[in-house]
Amino acid sequence: MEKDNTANMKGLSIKLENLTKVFYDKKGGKDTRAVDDFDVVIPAGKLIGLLGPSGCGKSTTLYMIAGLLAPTSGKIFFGDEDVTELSPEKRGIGLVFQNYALYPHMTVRKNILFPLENMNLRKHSIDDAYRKAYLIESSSEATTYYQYLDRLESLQNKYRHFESDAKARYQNEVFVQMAQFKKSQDELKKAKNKQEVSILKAEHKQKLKTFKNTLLEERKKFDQQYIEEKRSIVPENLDLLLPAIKAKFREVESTYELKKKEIKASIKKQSQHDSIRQQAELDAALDQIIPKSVKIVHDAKNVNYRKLMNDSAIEMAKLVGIEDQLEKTPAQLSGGQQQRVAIARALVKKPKVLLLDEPLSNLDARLRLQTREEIKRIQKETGITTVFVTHDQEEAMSISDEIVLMNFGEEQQKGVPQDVYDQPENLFVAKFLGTPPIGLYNAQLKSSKVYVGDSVVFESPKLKNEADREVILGVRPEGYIPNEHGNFAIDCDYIETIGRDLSVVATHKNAITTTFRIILSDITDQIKERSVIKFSLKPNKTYVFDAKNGRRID
Amino acid sequence: MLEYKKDYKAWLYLALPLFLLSVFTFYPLIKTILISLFSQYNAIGDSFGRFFDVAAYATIFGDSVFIGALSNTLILVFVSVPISTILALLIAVALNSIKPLQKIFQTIFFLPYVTNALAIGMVFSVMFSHPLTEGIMAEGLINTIFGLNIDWVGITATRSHWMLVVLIYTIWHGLPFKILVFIGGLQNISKQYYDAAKIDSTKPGRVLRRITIPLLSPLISYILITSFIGAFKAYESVLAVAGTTGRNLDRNRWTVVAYVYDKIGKAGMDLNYVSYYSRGAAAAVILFIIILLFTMVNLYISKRSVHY
Repeated sequence: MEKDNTANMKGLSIKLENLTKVFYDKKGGKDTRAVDDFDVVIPAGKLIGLLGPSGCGKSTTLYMIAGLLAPTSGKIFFGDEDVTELSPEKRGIGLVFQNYALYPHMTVRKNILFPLENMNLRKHSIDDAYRKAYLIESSSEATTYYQYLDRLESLQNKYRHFESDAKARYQNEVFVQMAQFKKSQDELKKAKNKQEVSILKAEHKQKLKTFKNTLLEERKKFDQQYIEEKRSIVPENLDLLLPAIKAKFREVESTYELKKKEIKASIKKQSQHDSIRQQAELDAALDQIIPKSVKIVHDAKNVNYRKLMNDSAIEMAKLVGIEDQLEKTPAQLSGGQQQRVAIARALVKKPKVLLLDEPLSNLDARLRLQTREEIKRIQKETGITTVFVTHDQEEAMSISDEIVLMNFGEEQQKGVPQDVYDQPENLFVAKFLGTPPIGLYNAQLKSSKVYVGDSVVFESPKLKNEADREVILGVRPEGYIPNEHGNFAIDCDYIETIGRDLSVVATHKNAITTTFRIILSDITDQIKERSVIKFSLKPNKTYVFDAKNGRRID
Repeated sequence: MLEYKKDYKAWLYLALPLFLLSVFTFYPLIKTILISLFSQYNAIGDSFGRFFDVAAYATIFGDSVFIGALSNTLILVFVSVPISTILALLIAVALNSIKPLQKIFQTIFFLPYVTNALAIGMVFSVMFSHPLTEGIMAEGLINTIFGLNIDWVGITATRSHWMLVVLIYTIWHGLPFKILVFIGGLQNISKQYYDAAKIDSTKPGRVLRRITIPLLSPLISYILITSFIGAFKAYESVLAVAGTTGRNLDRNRWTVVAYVYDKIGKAGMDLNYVSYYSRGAAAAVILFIIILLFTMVNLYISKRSVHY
């Protein structure tokens, strides 16, 4: 484990390919497509917010990335590695749960240490040391042996990919077939064609069977190919290799131990010095004769791993700013502190990806502001790829490098928060982002002009080629300019001042919501409560959407 | 002032339970202690007699039957309770981790709880039966299956044999309630702890030791305390397995409660002019003190190691 913890946490990119999760409801017979054909690339080292209303599939997506839920179809890549089939613990992720899931019976220190204690650091380090030592002592044999192990691992990975590909194909086939079957069955049932239904059922069963058989055959083929390929890389004397390497090392080690004894005895005989000096002499003498390989192994064995783990736990506690709370239990901490402990626990094993599930939802408003800056800082310091899920657009927009807006299990728009806000691609995105929310009006597009009621309120060269139809006009609260000659007359209900914000709560007979807000920089005489105010619209804050499919057309 | 006003109301609410407790708990308790100390207490006339001393205690500690009964009780307590608690915990964890058939298994494991203790005892004595004269009756189920020729529960049974059967009976009979309580507790543990453990690649054994058991510790402590108390009062288990009535139970198989029952059923005095009733009362007081001390130790330990 390197000293420089923050530097080696560098994240991996995450790629989701056609990720789909269907929850089958056995009783109701209704399937829920929580995540539907979701494609997204999350660049390495970035902080990404998955944003959407509740039930849009964002948490499901997060848990699939974590490996706690298995996708129905589709793939997940960390860097170049396909991790779809990997269990959560093998993915190298840190996950912060919505309510933190800190172990209530452990102190903060123990909570942070827990993941480290699972990793069996001592064994891994010593194994590593032996590997290095073997490579020094019997270079050619050890190289052969370890090369073989590496090749074997990549071979296993390769075939795991093949299998997961085959499985994904199978699942997709089954999925399509099920949908088709259900559709035609319903049609036939409506037509009351019983005979056809039974034929269809038989065909359906047959098809599913074929798919399954194909999958099984493919698996068998892979197994065979794997065995063959494995045979081709096995060194001829594999069984003898490791014992020989070990014996060689043991020989070197025992020669050294013998010499050590001799030197010890001679030092004792020669000098009458006190024991401290004797020890120093012995150490100096041993330092001269110790073989490098033996030294590596001894060093690895002599490390105090307990202390090492404790040190990295303290380091993480410092990173998140809770180093003075280590001996408390989670119940003694405030929500914000618990959150930090959860982040420290997720980061302590140096994951390549950090996942946060609604990280701020359990905190009060002030703490939320503080914690989100904290998360941003920690992410910047560690450079770890971070995905977090939230339904709070302000939260997502304030800290994310990029946001991915989701609804109904599908990606609606992805991009830098301000870009998404400025250029919404559809009505949903426009509605979801922004507080106060966007004002929406039922409008008509007639010869490239947008009419609300009888007046033309908006024109744009982009609308030239659009056919006349019903549209929805969206205007951001900051998109209104008070203008005596403006065409857009709005009824002002009352004026609201909160802190430095000044907004007009307004109504309009064509508006979709009963009231909406207009944010103004200052109040002129013209603006009074219970009056009609005339506005013109800022073109870059005004959007036109198709009334039918919600797509933006201007 | 306000607090005083509330006070009398509180006492009013407490009056009825306090009255009932005094009549049915405190009075008998104090009277039992008094009877044990008046060694010539006469149960028929309810007269305490002249002597206020510890003669009854001295007598029972000199009585090998009481010492035997005490040791029987202690063996039962310290073997059956830990084993049945650990077993119940493991079964509950196993049950909780399977999805199909969970309800069915739960029912199966709970059946002994609703079955009459004496009925189960009869089944046990049939299962472990052994005909005294060969050829008249067949061997019991256990002897037949394992091809043994041992008298487990009959009059010729050795102490280790009948004790083993009583222990099996006690453990088995104690399991269902414990399993039920543990399953309830397990289902209350948030699934997120296990998800978190999974992500941190915690091995199953470690999950059990470091997460499940600590989070279940309030219930484990509750189960331990109540079942220790219950086990100290063991009586019907021995009776049920022996398949006899109280009067006919072999003295060697007595527990402390059996000893008490026997003594308070007898009128008059023994050779040392100590009334049998006082001896019974003294044994009951000894049992009370043991349970009290043991429960206090239990509570002390659980205060330090239970995470609420």
